[in-house]
Amino acid sequence: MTAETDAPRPAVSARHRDPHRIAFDLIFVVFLVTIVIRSIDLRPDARLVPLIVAVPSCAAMVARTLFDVRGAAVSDKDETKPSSVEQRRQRIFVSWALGLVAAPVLATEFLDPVLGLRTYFIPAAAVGMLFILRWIGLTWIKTVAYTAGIVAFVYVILGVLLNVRL
Amino acid sequence: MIDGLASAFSDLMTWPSPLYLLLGVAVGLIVGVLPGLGGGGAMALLIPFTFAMEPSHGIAFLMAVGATSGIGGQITSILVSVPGDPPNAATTIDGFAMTKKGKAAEAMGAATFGSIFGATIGMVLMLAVLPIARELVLAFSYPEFFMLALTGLLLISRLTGGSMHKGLIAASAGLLAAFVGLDPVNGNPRFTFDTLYLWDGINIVPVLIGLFAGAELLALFSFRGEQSLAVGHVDSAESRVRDGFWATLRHWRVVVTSSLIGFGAGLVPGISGTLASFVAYGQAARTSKNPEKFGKGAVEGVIAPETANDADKGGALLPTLAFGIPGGVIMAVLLSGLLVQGVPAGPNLLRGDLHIVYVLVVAAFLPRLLAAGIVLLLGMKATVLTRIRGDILAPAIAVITVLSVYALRNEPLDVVMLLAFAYIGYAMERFGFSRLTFIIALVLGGLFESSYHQTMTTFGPSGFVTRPFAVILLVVAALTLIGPAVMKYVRRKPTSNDVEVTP
Repeated sequence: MTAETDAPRPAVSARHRDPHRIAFDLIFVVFLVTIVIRSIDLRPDARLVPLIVAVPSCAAMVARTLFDVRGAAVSDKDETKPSSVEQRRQRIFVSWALGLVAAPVLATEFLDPVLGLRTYFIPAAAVGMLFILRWIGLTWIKTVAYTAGIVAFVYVILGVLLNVRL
Repeated sequence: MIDGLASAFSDLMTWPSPLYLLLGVAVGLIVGVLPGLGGGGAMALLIPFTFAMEPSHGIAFLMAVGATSGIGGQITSILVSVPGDPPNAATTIDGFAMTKKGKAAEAMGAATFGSIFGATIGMVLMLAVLPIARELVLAFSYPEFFMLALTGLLLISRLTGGSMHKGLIAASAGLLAAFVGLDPVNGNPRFTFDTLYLWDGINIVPVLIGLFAGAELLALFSFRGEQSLAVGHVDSAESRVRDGFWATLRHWRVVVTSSLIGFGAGLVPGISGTLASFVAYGQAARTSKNPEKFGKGAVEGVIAPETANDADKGGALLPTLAFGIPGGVIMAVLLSGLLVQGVPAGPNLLRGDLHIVYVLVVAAFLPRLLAAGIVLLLGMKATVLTRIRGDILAPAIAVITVLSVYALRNEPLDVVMLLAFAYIGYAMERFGFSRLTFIIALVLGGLFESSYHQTMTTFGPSGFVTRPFAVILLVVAALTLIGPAVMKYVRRKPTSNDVEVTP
């Protein structure tokens, strides 16, 4: 064995297993397996094309998942993790978006209409904008002005001009 | 024909027609800019307003809305990566990348002039083909539709993203998502998980917007923060628009090829402008001298989809007028508008007075010129958006997007779907699964399955291999799948290991 073969390969740090990647692979696998299982109860002509597509895809996706579980050799320069500040901003934005969607949907579903509102999308948009613009550090005056502008724009175009039920 | 076009032009220039055209252009641009509410949806909402109008005025008004929504949609696609109209989705890829390099005005110029050239070529081809329309459209039947869908999917899987393996998985996932809803053979619910919402299938608009906008908005908010979109040096808008114009002329082959793709896709009922723009994008990438620049701000990546998207309208008008078979959503709504006005589309329309046909052609073309002018004059002002802080812009776009998607059908679950696909789009982008392939498969899934069953019922299995167009498409599909591997094997040069060295 030569010294050259004994030396560690400098570009490759280790096998890298990305839990997020594996979780996403598993979501894909679950989706494909669900389609295959639910196809079994369908009439033959209704399940034919879905099964032709789903079965090989399922096998391919399981293979891809196993490959990702095994981990891929990556070099240090491939590691492009977001900084902690960026991760925090990501978390806030995702939570904000979840709230922006979930709150009005749940409120419309479970609350009685109040103040003449038929849905809660406009109030949720207003509260959401106020929160996020304050969170990024805008002054109260700018926050209120921007929020009012955006909500008014949407309301005029959708609610007034296109007569959408908001 | 020239006399007919001149008469239609003169009719549309007689008061109050110009007013209706202007109104149609304004509405088309606004709904085009709003994500989700496409031209078809807006036309459907506006049909009641045409009851009191003269037939030619009402039809011109509707046509103006439908024709210009795509031009409005390119503004948000390029500036903030949110496709205003589904066919604009392909424009977001390189258009937004150009915006991030400070070339928003050039991208807008290229997209606008691409649209004008595409619309012109599409309409000229439509008028040229009109006399032989019947034979042309009848050459395509169920086996050709099936092969067209299969070939399109395989081409897209190969051309987008690096890994064919992941491309095929994304295509399969898109197809399976398209199979949700009522099955085309028996009409029974399938993969609906006992929810009424999924009986109509997965609505493409929230999926499309979620896939393409979600990841970009997250990146805009978190990575750019207080920065604006345009990080590069931003030249004056006028000079950049000129650059876009010259780029369109320089890439005339892309313009011609994309126009032909768009026109051809429009001819085939059920093949939407969304597919045309993605196929044109893939073709431009495949034939480019610099394919590695695609996805990173290649101007051809903006020209190709916008040209195809507008040429598509010319093609789609043909089956709508010749057979009463709408070539797409916009044409389906237009057909309803024609019926409301007492104008029966179909062979009788072409055998009788062609005035209304020429009115439609002129009404599809004039508003585009007008809209392009407005976009070039006022749309450039919209590039100011690229200088707004990312963490202000991202939530504002998110709010407008969420409300627009909700407004489309007043359906709260559409908004939930939007959010779910925003995550899926983010993850697909991060882990190398092609979002384009997924969305194309979703668009084509219905055609893929129904044309398979219709072929088997009408022609039997031999239908796939006995009709000339179907065989040609089958060969293209096979070459796409195994061609590169075969070529790699054939071109394999002997290496030093293959050479036997004797001492």
